[in-house]
Amino acid sequence: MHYCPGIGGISAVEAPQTFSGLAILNYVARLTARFDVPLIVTIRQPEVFPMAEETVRQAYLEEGRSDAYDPSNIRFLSSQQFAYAAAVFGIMSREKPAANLMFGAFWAEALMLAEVGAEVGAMQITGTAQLSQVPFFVASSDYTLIGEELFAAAAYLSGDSNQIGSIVGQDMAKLIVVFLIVVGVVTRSFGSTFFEELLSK
Amino acid sequence: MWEKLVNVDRRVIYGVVFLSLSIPLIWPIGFEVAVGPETKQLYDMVNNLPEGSAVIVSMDTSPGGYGELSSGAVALLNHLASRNIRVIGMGFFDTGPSLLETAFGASDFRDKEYGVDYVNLGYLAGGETAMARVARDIVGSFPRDYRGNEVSELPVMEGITSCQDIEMIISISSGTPGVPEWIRQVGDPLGIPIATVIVAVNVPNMTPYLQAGQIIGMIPSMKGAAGYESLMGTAGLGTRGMDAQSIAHLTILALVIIGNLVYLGTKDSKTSKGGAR
Amino acid sequence: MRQELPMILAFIVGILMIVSFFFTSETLGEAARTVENWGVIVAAFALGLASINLIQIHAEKITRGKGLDWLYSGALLFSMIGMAVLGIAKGPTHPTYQFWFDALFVPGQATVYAMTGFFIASAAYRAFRIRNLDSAILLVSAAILMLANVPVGEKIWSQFPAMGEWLMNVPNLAGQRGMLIGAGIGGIASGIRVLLGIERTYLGGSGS
Repeated sequence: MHYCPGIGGISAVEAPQTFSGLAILNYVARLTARFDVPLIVTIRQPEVFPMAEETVRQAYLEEGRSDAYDPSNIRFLSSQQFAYAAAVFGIMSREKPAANLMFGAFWAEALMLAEVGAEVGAMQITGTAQLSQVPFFVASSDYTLIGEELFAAAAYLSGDSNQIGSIVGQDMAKLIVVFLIVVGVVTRSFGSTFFEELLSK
Repeated sequence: MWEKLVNVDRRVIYGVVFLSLSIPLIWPIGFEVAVGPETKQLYDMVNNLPEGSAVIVSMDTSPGGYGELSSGAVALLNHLASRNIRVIGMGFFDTGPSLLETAFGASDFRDKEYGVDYVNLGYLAGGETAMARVARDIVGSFPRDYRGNEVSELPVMEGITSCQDIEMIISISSGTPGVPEWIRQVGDPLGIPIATVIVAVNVPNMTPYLQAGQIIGMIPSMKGAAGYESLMGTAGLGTRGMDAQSIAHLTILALVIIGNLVYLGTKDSKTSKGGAR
Repeated sequence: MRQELPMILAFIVGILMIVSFFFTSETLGEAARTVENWGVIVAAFALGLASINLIQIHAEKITRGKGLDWLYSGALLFSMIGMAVLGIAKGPTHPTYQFWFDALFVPGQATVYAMTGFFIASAAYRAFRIRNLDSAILLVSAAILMLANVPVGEKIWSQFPAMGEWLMNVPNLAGQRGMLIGAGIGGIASGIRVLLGIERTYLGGSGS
C-alpha cells in the first residue's frame, strides 16, 4: 500500500489538511500492522517526515507489531513538488501497490499521482480540501473525500470524542453561517444595507 | 473492436494530444481571442495608475507554473514599463526571484534601469507570515535585494516603506502562498488593490474573490494573456498558444465522446451476451 | 514536559496573535510583530534543515550502494551542493547560476508540470463516462466550459462563452463559496484544537 499525507506543511493555511492526513495515516498504519501489509509512506515536506515516522511507529507499537515496523518505508523524497511527484511515479511503477491512499493538501501533482496509481491498477481513495484539485481526484480515483469530509474522516477514524465533538461544532458554525446568509439575502432583497454594514465593520 | 478501444495504450492518447498541441504551434491558425471583463478591468486599472507610482509584482509560482504564466506576466510587465510604473519585485516561492529575473529579461524592463525603474528584492521565507511582515515594513524585510544592493539606497524605493505606499499588488500565482494570502494580509486590512496572473486550474477558486471585489482584475492563464496582448496591440506567446489550446480542447472532447461510445458499446455487448451489469 | 512544553508555547503564541488581531495595543502589536519576525527566521532555518535531511538520506543511500539508487543520490547531491556553492560564491544573478537554472531546473519542472495535460486526456478518456445523472451533468458542464474557454468554441456556437460564464458565475461560485466557508470553519476548528492541546498530531503519535 502507498500512502501520502499530502504535500503541504504544518505552518501554513493547509496545516489542518496535513494533520488530518497524519491522523488517517495512524488508522491505516494500525490496519497494515494488524494484517501484515507493507506500507510505503512518501513525504514531501521535511518537517512532516519525523511526524509521519512517529505516527507509523506508534501505530505499529499499539498493535504489538513493532517487529514489523520498517523505518525505511517512510520516505522523504524531495521538497521540490515535481521532483517529489517524479519519485512517487518511480515508486508506484516499481512497487505496484494494490492500494493508493492520498489524504491532505495537494497541488498540480495530484492528477499525476492519481493517474499513475490508476495505471498500475491500484485501488485509489483520495481526499483533499484543495478546491482546485478536487475535480482531478474525482475523475481519477475510486473514492474521494471532498473538502471537510477529510477533516470529518480524520476525526471519526481517530475515535477521539474531542475531535468528533469539534466536527459537530463545525456543523453548528455552518448552520450559523447559513442563517446569516439567509438574513443577509432577505434584508438586501428588501433594499436594506444595515446587515451588510454591520458585518463589514 | 470495443475491447481494443477499451484497452487502448495510453501512449496512443498521449501521441494524439501531443500532435494536437504541436501542429497549431508550427502552423498557426489565427483564431481571434475575446477579452474577458476581468482582464479588461486589470488593463484599465494599470492604465489609470499615476506615472512614477509603484506596484509590487510578486512571483508566487514554481518553474512548472511559470510556463503557463510567463505570457501573461510578460504582457503585464510590458504594460507597466510603457506606463513608467516602478515595479518592486519579490518572491515567496524560493524559485520566485530567479523567475522574476527571467520575466524582467523577457519584457521591456530589460531596456530600463535596474534600481531606478525596477528592483528584484528576492525571496522571503515564511509564506503568509512573511507577507504579513512585508505588509508593514518592506525595507526591513528585504535589507538587501537579489543582486546584493542595499535596498534603502535604491532610487526605486524612494518614498516606500510599507505596502501602504504601494498602488497595487500583482501576484503571479500558481499555488500557496498566493492571492488569498495577499488578500488576508494586505488587501483587506490595508485596502490595497490586488490583481493576479493565475493558472487556469485556480480560476474557479478566484471567482468568489473577484465578485466580492477583493481582486480588482485577473489574467487567467494563456487565454487572459492573449486577451491582454490584444488590448496592448501585440501578438505574443499567449496569442500563439490559443490556437494550440483550441485544437487540444477539441481533441480531448473527441476522446471523451469516443470513451463514452466505447462504454456504451461494451455495456451493450455485455448485456446481449447475458453478462453481469 | 516533552509534550507539554510545545503545547504551552503553541497556546501562548496562538493566543497572542489572535488577540493582537482583534485589539489595538502598542505592546500587543510589538509582541505580534516580534513573533512574525521569529516566524520568518524559523522558516528560513527549516529550509536549511530540509537540506541537511536530504544530504543525510542520500549520503546513506550512497554508502549502502544498493542497486542503482546510489547513482541517482550521487547526482542529486552533486547538483544540490554544486548549485548551492555557486550561488553562495558568485551570487544567484551570476550568468553561470542563471544558465543552469534556466537550462536545467526550469525546463525540468515545466516538463513534469506539462505532463498534466496528457494525464487529464487519459483520465478523461477513462473516467468521463455517462453512468448516471451526476456524471452526465459533470460531463456536459466540462464540455461547455472547455469550449467556452477557447476561441474555437465561439466559432462553433456564439453562445458557448455566455454559457461558460454563467456556469462559472452561478453554480461554480455557489459551490466554491460553500467549500471555502466549510474549509475556513474547518481551519478555525483545527486551530482551536491545536491551541487547546486537543490536536497533538504535530507532536507525533496518534494525536490523541
